[in-house]
Amino acid sequence: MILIGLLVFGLLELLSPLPRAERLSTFLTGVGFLLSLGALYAPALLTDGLGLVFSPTHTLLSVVVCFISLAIQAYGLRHFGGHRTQREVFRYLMSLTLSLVFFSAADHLLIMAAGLLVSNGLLARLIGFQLEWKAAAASARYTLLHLGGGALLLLAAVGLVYYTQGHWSLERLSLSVEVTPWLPVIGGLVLLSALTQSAIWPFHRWLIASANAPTPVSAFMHAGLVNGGAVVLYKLYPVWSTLAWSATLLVVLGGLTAIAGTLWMLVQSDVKRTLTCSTMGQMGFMIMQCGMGLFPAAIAHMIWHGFFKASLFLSAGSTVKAARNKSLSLYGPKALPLFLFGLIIGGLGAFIFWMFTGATGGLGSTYALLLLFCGITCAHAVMTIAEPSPTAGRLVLAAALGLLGSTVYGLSVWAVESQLAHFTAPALNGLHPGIGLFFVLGWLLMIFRDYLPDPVGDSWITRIYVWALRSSQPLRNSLNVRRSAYRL
Amino acid sequence: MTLTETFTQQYIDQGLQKLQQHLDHLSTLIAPTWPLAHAVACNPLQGLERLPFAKAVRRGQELFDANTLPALWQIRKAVKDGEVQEKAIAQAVSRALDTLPATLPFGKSSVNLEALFTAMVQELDERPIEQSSDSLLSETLTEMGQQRPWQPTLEPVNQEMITWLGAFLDEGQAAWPMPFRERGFYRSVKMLLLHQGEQTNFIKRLPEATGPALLMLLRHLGIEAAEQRDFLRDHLMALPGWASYIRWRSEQTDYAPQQRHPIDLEEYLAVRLLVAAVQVPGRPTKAPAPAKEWAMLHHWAAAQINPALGTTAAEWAPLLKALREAYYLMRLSLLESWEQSFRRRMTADLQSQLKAPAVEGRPEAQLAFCIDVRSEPFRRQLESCGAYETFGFAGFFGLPIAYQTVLGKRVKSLPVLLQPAHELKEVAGTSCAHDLEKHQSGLKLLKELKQAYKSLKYNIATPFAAVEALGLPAGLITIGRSLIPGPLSRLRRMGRRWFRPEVDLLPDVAQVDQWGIPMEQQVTYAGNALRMMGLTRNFAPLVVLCGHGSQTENNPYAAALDCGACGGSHGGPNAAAMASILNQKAVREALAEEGIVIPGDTLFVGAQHNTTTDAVQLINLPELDTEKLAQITGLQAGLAKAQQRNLEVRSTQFGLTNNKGMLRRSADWSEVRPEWGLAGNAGFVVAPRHMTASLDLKGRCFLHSYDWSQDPDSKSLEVILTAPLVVAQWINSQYFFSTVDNTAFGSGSKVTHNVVGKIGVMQGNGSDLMHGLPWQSVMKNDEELYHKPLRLTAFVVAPKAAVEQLVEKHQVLQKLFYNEWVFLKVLDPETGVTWVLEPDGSWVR
Repeated sequence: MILIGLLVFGLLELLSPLPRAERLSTFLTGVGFLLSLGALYAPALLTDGLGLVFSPTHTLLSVVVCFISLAIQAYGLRHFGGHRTQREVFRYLMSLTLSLVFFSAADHLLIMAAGLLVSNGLLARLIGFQLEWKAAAASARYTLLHLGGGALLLLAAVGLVYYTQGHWSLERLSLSVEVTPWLPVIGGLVLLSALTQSAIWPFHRWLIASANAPTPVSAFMHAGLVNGGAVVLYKLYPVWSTLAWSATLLVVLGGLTAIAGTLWMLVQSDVKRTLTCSTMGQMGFMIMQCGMGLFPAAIAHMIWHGFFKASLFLSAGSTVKAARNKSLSLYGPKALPLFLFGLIIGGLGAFIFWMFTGATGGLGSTYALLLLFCGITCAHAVMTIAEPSPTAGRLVLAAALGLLGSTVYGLSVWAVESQLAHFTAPALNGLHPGIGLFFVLGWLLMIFRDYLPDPVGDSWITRIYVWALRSSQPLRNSLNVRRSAYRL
Repeated sequence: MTLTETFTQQYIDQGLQKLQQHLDHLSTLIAPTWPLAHAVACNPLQGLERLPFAKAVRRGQELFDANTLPALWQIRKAVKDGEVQEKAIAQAVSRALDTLPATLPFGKSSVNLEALFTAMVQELDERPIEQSSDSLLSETLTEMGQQRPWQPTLEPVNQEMITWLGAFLDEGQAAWPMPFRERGFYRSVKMLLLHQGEQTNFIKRLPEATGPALLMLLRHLGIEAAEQRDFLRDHLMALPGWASYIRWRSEQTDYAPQQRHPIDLEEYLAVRLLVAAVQVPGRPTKAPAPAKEWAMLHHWAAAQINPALGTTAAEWAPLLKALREAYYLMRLSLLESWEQSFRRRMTADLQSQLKAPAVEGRPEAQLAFCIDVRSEPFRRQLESCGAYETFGFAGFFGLPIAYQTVLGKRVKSLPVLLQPAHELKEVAGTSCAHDLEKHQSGLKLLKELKQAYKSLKYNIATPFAAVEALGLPAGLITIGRSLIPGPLSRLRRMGRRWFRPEVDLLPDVAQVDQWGIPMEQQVTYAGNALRMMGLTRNFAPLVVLCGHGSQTENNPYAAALDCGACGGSHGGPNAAAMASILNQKAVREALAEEGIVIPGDTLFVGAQHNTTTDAVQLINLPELDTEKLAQITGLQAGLAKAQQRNLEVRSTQFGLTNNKGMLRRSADWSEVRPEWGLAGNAGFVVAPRHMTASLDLKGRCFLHSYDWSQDPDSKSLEVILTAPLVVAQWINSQYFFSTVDNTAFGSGSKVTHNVVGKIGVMQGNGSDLMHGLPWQSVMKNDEELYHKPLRLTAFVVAPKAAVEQLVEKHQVLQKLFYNEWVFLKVLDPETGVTWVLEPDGSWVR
């Protein structure tokens, strides 16, 4: 209640003509963040009410929302300096923070869905903060169409839940779900709304077209709202998980999005679309994790990826000076020993990860895929650090950093898991090893690409390039094809 | 060869020749744009400088669909601030009425133009007016012959071009770069379009060479020979920013990306036509968007007059034309009044100082700064902090060098007007040579770790786990950089220092093999520099040569804050190199023979002025005895005091009441106005410092020290007028046009910038390459101008005859002065008379 009170107060400040209201609202958000952080350890700090429940999970989400909002507002204080719409932007940011807290902490289904709807509407407005600029207005419209539509589907779904189950409570839903013929419809609506929210193919186009937003708004979106899909899936787990096809759908669409987004990211020449496509890939991975029943891992991924992506967006101006972007390529006589060394350390890294998070499931479960990704990444890090000058000292450094990375990874997943209800990873099915194999092959292909035949004679690689470049273009009316149509 | 073949060949040759003529003509219209990392200021209307300013801005308005004169709302602000006299408004209206009638027949009645013009100058606000088309406007433009049939295809072609240009010109953003780039732009896009699998038969038939391909495409698109030039011009101007970057690239024969992946305007046009033929099939039916000035005036006039529903284009066109003419004439007149009031004030000030006494006695230290407008306020503060004499001189200190950094990167450290004459190697200063190895290996490790981090991001399988491992540190850094940017940056600096010790690096002038500068030339450069800044006698015990550089975070425009001329290089290395030349015994002996006697106790020190924080750092101090050490300590205290005082003054320019928070700006990643750069520039003063020392020029003037009595053959003056002045005009006109039309000549708001290919910025999802300065660099806020768009005025204190001779000798000066791109005022110190150079070449008192 105190948290909500603080945020409402901040919003009121922004509505008044107070000269330094932006600073005050940033400060209040900071207090809200500390409060909810404290509440993680002393749950009495945030009391329930208004249809909100600050259970550990919900509190964790509030912490994340306040944290990101604080960072964005502090950034916006100077970034929007001198802008006639600064106050307006802050009003929307604060309202967005508030509605996201409602969305993440609600136990009342209607409040949750309405919170999402309001948040999505506010986000669309922020993306088009310069409505006179037609391209930005088009981006905003597109976002509203997808995300607003998605949230309406969720509203319909919770309405049906009430109709069939007779109550609005998430908590009661997690205890028991009465099986009715409506269940597949509800599940389908929930899945659809999650997929649009997280820009999963084929609902990704609004995200690609969203870079007309001010940089801090993009940061907020990529760190916060676009992750909403995982939250929706996590919260409404009971209503869709019983459907046989749902997990497969999530894994397939998530996997496709992860692959497409990552490929698209590689060919982009501007920093914001590079980041956008990368988010798309990460969202695919996150939804894939949800589909595999790895909820704690998905939520952990959502939080840590959010922080990471926010920092990249906010520092997008540094790219001019930064070194060129390159992916690792192993070639020549030192390639094989280095590769083997990397694999060994990668295995160790996966073991460390397992020590922290092993409670989730065994090697026969989907959890094994997480181990695989951790191992590959650790191995890759070791190889790239050692590759330029593989001296003994450098090998030790590479191994140390690789294992440190695995430790941090394990710890961060563990930290989130400890706040969530316990989930046990389901057993592997036929699809899962295929996905693992695909990523391993893609990985090997990329690091040993210099052994492949010359691309000139190799038209399929060029075809993939052209496809990736052209299919990742934003919609025409959200692009500024005419210079004088740009409006400040 | 049959007759037909000969005929065809002849036909093609003729066509190619004609095409080449068009291209030669068209490419001069486009001014070059440098990549962000090597930003150099440039007049966006450079191609029109051969025309008088008044004509050039008219032509520029049409070519670039731009505002080329200050907007009326901007001028009214200046009137309110007292920078333009009230009566100038009435003058502007009467100037319009000199050429236009007071009433104009319209429909059955007539329109009172005088009243309309008065309303325009007093009320028209260009910003909120819509620029959309309506049927009356579109018919009127057709009536006036302003619409061309191919215009609707330009925008769809632009859309495809933004993708191809970004991919081709990328310098390290895409981890998977565009294939076939080494074949050049046209052939690589052609290859990729073939792989896309649409219209492959047509594409396969196209010639490989760009010229013949252009001819064939022109024919395919149905463009008659008579239309070719207009057609090609419209295509070239459709994305002016990208075109101007390509223009720059095509001229950089020693630029590695250009050597690897060649592109020029001909290739660019070939791709545009290829795209028009293949990717934009059929003529879009949509009407072309109207030119923005026409649209703005149309909507304003319609709101004023409320034309009856049946108003025809034939009735409306004369009125619209008259309004446009008046809009142009009145703004030109008001601009001139604005400039005159600045010039009048400056001239009166300078004249009052003609008899100011020169510095007598030996100062504690002499410091030479760059002519950059940011030096002037700092110099004034410094002079108030002790017995310091200061000089203004081009901040590369006359050394035309390039040097290789300790990591092997080549840096050109000189104005782009010149080519490097010497290749130097960067070495560690004497006192810290032992740290160099550690510094180097630290740098290398850091670079490789960053590379490793990047390769984790750019792979199909690794980014997922990597971001989770990096999420927590990234979150903490994000919040830290936003909330406590100052302390965090100090912490980071400490961390960096631990990783790689700080080392004073400077280019080594000694000649070894092909590196370094031969002794005789060292003497020449040293002598010239001292003579040009007028420092040939009365040397202080300490002489500091002070280059400059900015320090900002997360700022794509960092290089634009460094120097408008030197392509983003800092001046410190040159200053240190020149100081090391002047400290050599052999050089001093040779200079003494030329009559420049440097006392044995004079020490030259290189330094760098950080224009963001106003800190001055001395570079490569040698081992000092106690006396010198005391002098240096005293100087450093003086510099620190000057820093505080100047920060105080500068803080008011940001609307702050004290200098708290001024230092934060250099470390804050969210800051959109870390410093004002060269904004405000309007004057270029060539005079001895004692004539400007007691004036507060408010950071609006480039100051070049010059003592006419020591320059009998005008050699130094010749260099000053043909090099630094020319550069100052580039800078001035870039600020001018970025202010008057930030959409067409500036880069728009930083809030929505999107860096593309590491070379430039686009707006939002993708756009033209936004060349020029961002909105925040010229505006205090959305309402108030910080930079005042005035053309540059040169104030030269020298005998009129000497200046007259130089103007007659140099075409570049005639072009600038006669066409009124720069104004020239000569204050003749012998007679005390002030002369003005008129556009027709006559001199008026």
